Amino acid sequence: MEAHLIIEPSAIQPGQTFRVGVLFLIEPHWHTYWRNGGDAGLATDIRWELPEGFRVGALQWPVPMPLTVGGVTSYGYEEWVLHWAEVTAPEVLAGPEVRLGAQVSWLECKEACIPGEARLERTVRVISGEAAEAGLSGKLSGLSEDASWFSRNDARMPAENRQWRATFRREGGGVILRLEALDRRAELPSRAMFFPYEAWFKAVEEQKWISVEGGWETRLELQGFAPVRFERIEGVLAETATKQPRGIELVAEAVASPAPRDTLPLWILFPLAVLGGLILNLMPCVFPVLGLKVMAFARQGGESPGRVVMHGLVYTAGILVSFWILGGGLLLLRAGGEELGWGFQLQNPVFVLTLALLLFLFGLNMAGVFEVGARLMAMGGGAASGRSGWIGDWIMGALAVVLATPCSAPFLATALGSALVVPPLDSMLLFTGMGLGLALPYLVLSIRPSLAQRLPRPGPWMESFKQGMSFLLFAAAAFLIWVLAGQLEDEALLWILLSLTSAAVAVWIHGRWTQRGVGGWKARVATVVAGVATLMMAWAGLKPPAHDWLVWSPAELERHRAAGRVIYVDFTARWCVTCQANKLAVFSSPEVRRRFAELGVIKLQADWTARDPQITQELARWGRAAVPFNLIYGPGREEPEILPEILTPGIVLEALERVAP
Amino acid sequence: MKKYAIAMITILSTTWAFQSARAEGPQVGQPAPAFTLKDTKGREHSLSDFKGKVVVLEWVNHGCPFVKKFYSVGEMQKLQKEAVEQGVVWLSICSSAPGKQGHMSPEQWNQKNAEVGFAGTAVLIDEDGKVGRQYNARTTPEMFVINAEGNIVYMGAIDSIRSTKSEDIAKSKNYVRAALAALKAGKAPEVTQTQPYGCSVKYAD
Repeated sequence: MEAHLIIEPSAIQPGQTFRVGVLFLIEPHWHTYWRNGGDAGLATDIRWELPEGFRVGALQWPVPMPLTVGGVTSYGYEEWVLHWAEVTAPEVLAGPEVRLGAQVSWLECKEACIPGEARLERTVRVISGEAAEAGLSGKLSGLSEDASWFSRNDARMPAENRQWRATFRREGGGVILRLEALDRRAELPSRAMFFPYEAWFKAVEEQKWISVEGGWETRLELQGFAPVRFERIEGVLAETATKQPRGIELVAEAVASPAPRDTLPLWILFPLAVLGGLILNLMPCVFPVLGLKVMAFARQGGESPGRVVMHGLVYTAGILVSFWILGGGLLLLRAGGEELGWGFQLQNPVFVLTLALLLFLFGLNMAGVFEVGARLMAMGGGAASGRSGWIGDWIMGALAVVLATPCSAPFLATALGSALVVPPLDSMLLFTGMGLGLALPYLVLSIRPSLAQRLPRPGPWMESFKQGMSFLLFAAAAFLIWVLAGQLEDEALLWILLSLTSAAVAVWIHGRWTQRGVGGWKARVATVVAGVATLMMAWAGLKPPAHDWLVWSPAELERHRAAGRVIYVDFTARWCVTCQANKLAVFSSPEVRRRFAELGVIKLQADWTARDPQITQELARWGRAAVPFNLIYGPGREEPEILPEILTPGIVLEALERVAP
Repeated sequence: MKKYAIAMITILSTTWAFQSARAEGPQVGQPAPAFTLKDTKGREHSLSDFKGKVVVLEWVNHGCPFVKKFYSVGEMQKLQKEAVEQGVVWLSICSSAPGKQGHMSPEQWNQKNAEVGFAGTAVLIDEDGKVGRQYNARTTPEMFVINAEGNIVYMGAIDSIRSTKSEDIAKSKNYVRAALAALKAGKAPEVTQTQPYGCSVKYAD
């Protein structure tokens, strides 16, 4: 391990502010510690020893990385690290040189630990103001040979936070840290980790972030010795995917915990759950089953009152047990899923798409495109003899629950949300309530059969009603797709809509051919193919966008040109199919993606989907009146490369060669 | 009906198990987790054996510079002697896994103890790290003071200056000594929990 005191400029002037640092060169696999060492370890301690009149600022710490040995996690540095501070020389400073020193102590560990201590010193020349102006030519001659360490280290320093609003709230034995994006482009760093300055939190190797509306949340476990109350948490939010992580400084302010639904007392929630279950009977998913129930009931008209009540009770039991299984399963998922960082809310795109797809398919089923559980329904409906009657009732009860599930989510958000948030026992009670509500009409009918006279007689109206309900389901699916659209970037929506269409094709083939006993294996294969296509398109829609397009504007273009970047400009519109095909062809090529990454190409997109006079003007400048139109700007070149209308990866790569050899 | 009931009970109990698995580790004011370990002389000791006595647990690893800070100048041994003379049971625990720093065979331990003048009650060997993890021990040294009723009254660092330098001992406040003094006076310790400092406990990977 080597420790050196290094100074950024080669000579200093009186009154000048410059940087001084302690550089550690660490042997492979060894590490030193950050200001918060984590579970174990000791932060490096640097005490500056500067001559009279020198002022020194706070010690600066580069972004650390998590280091776990034998299950104990610390925060520190490997390979090398530079701890520096800003120093200001006094206005009056006598030359020809001055000695700067530091008393440094550190802990260096691999598996074993070795404490280290050293007194470091460095002399630096002092030059007066005039000599400096006369002697210096260009910035570089003012820097020492060690200056490159400072600039290399700058990339590791936490940057200013302009992307997130950070807050936190207490929850149980920990704290939920919440990041809200201030900017639509704010992206959570890969393998993001928040490193707090205080040692109040248990150190972890990885943090699980859950996507929430407008941002991200993670849970930080508190140590027993943490203060009982604190108003802010300061630290660094970093990506830990690389060995020299980058990060931003974060200050999280305390907010009161949101009025949680779980403080609504159970005696209010339970009736609400029962009411919810009752309403479920009217839902388009379930109402037609009610019709079947009525038919079955009419059949039972001849039986003894006691047996009829038993039918009702068995049906109720079937519903309750199904709800318990559903509830228990959801709780298991919640407990396990939280470990995996799933978000079971309508803010999670996967969840929303699954619901939308299910509702859409159920709508198609209602409309008669295909049948679901036809055999089951027949079994349930054909409860003629006493024996199979119990099983029939049971299955009908379970079926009602199954059908109710996708419908219940959008319409019963409160009840289900509460069920997912309260403790497990309360949650099961709520599910019981919902089940009771769902079973109530039938149970009531079985106890007071006379009420059945008031029910409408079965007839063709039931089929029309069922088909009409499908539109309600389509509307619900449309709503969810609208919600989803707000959570995803542009092209994703196209894939989602196409995947729904593909699903419709799959069930249409299944319903029209296979279920009618014609079509043979060809129909089945076609269904499977359409089903696979559905999943693939859904996946394409849900995966995060692989590229990051910036919004084109003349000012933005100038800014990047001034910085000497390679810029790829894409004039496009949603209704322009050639444009989408171009992008697909070009950016699906790994070669292109790699070259873009190597050159650090800035991608500017000018979206002409809606009339935009600025873009129209720019296109006119180039003698164009239509899209697609693509340009590549290179550093030091006046004119950009104009690309042809139809693009291939080869064309783009060639153009890049000409622009940035 | 029976099958469904069994299924429901299984699901419910699994859910409860999940929730309770998230329960916290050792806490001040709560009973210290029970354990049974063999000492360096082959005798078994359980925490319950010492009910009615104050117990101090000291996580140790003689290769760690923070532990050496105290042992090299006799400070830890002095504290051990003081405690034992007061009727306190002092148990040093080593959770180093075989092959890791600090791990020694019982014979080597007895030699080491004689060499440094260990003055505690016993050194317990926790090779598989089970007790260490039960107590969430992360550093050496890490200290726990357990009162006669079996509850934790102090946990965390041995003293207030986080360093490897023996010179700092005289300047720092020793939390274990303070806790024992408070218990002797029939009071609760003033400082009940601090952030421990030291080398990481060398558990198996």
